[in-house]
Amino acid sequence: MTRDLSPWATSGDSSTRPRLTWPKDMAGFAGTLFGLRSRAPSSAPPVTTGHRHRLSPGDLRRIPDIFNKLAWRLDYHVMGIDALTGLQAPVIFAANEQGALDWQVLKLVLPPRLRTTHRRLSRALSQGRSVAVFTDDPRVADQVGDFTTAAADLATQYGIPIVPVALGGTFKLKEILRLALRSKPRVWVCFGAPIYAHGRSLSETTAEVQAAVGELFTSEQLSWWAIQRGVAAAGSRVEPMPRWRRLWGQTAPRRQDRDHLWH
Amino acid sequence: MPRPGFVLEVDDRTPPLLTMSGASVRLQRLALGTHVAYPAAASPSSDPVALVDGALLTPVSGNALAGQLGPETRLTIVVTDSGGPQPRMRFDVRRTMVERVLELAARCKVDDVEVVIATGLSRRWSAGDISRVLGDRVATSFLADGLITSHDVTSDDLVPIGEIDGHEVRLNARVAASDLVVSVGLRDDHHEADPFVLGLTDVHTISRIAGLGATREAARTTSALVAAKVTTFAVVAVLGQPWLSPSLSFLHRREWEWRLGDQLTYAAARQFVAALPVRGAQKLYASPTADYDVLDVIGGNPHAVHREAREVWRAANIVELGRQADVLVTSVWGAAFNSGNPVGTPLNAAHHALVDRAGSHVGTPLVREGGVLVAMHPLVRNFSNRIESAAADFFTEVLPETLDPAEIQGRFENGAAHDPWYLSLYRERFAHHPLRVFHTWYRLQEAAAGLSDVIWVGGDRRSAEVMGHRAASSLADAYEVAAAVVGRNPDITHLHGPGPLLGAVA
Repeated sequence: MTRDLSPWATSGDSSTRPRLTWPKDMAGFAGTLFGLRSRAPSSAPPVTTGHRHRLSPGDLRRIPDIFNKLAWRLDYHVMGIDALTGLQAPVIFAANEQGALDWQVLKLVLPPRLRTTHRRLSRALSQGRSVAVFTDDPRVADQVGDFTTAAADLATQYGIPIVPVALGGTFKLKEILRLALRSKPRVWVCFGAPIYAHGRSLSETTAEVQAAVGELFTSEQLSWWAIQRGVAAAGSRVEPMPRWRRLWGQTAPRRQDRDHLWH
Repeated sequence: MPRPGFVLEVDDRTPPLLTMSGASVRLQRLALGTHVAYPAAASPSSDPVALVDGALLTPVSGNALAGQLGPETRLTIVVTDSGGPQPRMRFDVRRTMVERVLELAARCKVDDVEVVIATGLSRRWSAGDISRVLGDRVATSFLADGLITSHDVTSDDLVPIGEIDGHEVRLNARVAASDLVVSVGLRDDHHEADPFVLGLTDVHTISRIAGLGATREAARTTSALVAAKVTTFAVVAVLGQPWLSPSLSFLHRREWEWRLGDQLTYAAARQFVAALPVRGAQKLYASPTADYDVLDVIGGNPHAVHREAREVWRAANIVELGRQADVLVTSVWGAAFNSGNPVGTPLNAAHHALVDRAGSHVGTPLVREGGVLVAMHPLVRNFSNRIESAAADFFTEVLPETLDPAEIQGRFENGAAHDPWYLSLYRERFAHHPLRVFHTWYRLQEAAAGLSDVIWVGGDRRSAEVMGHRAASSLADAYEVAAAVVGRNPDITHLHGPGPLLGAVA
């Protein structure tokens, strides 16, 4: 080397013995009564409390609530839970209704931080609790019923997103659970991307939520159908489009004529 | 706007204040009369979708994005990455921005869409990085078909788009061939560099803009050339200060606001690191995540957007300092500049202290000409074999030969830029490009040019000697060493961590 480095500039001993530091640290804090006697300097701005909490991946339930016995009686499949990452309480869940146990089934997979309820919607939202809105009874059995404009109305009023949720396998679930079964009934919950209502009319938002829940419901059925019967997945019902948009559309709300799906 | 930063003058009643050195933290009493500059307060983030939609709908200049999209548009979304904020973001706002742009593109029935990550000389993104930052929806829709790519500065596919002073400028092929490019980026500092150009051009162009002898004029003309060739709609999110997780929350709270919970986590963090120095630090600090509040999202013409974003960041983070200092003291926290390495390498620590901390000012420098910078870092030589192989060799083979940037460029830069091992690590193993460490050194030397000394408290003496700096065992010893230059009663300014601040000397 051409630089003349000082011969006494050597590396120190890098190995360090484990040390005990917490007694001395806590003794130092005891002098101020553990923060109670601390005074802010005069030049420091005052404290402003801000409590906003967004859902992180650690807050989401990958498996349903194991402390509820219903979770042990069903074969749960939860899809698309990643769509809830980054959401801030409160939100509105828009789910299709099939039977009496829909709310129970949904509640087991919702993040506990959101404290969701399905009664007294407006009051719950004003208190910062999330709500779940269900469709009316479906006109045809085993299809998705109609949403009223209640969800869109609340979303516009409070400025919060609507998360479309498709529930499957809950039709007549209460009766099925009374039977002596050898295998657990299969129940699936599919979350979609959140829909934001800002700048749109109630009917537009409701139509978008309806389309999203319908799409989530059928894409689950179709994929199962395609696997069981070897039928090409939705080749005839959608317009030709590149693969990325079809994949994108499966997890995103799409403005499409709902009746087109049921051919 | 969050609580602004401020300056605290240390007197008899000031309690011990927090200092960080690599992965370790401690409370220590500072010299009387020290001006301690606190950055703006941190706050947790809220859902930024409304801000993003607003930026896309009402840009600061130009037309709304929806009006520029159609079924025949060849759209490329460029995600600029200049290291990102460190610690990394728990909720990456780039994910939200990319998702909203794609939502708009799907509604406008755009068929041809690709995503390009503009990394420049920094390490390219692996599939795991893409999934982590951009989310599952984008990853599953595009990654399987290879429609998300990370720019390779050494690629032969780069397309020439023009010449500046006889030198050819080459750009990413997909970006050059696009009808519309949406550039998604972040603003978390005050630097003027254009991440779009630095991230998508070839090695020679980047060297002319950011290497030795680079001028602002060269950067400006290159940006203008690229802007003329490629229609770009920029979307930039301005970030606030890092709001750390509960196990590290004492770092972003001010010391007199600590209560029993913060004091217990501070004592636990110190004990953890002291009891198991390597493992403890790795567990706590190796890849902490922080929540960054999104102060604003700005969309529109790139030049206007970058200017506006810089103004917003400046307004949120400026701290008025009464006077220029004789001695500037700064903590150097490993997690603030090195992801995955809780302590940080000596070169990255020096760059963080000299360029990011001491260099973050408006107009007048924070320390006077001929002053001293005192930084706290252990300067342990722990370079990553995979990511920083070129930097490790630079430290052990180049710096002991010479410190002069011109000589380093003449003797060593060309060899490193064409070394097959470094290039294969860059292309296939997601390492930094070998030239990145050279540019780091040039910036470092430019920042140290006005200082008479740089002293590392607790730093390894050999590492400091190799970099041409000094080491001291404690802060008092550092002042003793500096006294030969600045006298025994210097004006001391202390930059309190961990977040960035912009100093303005009155």
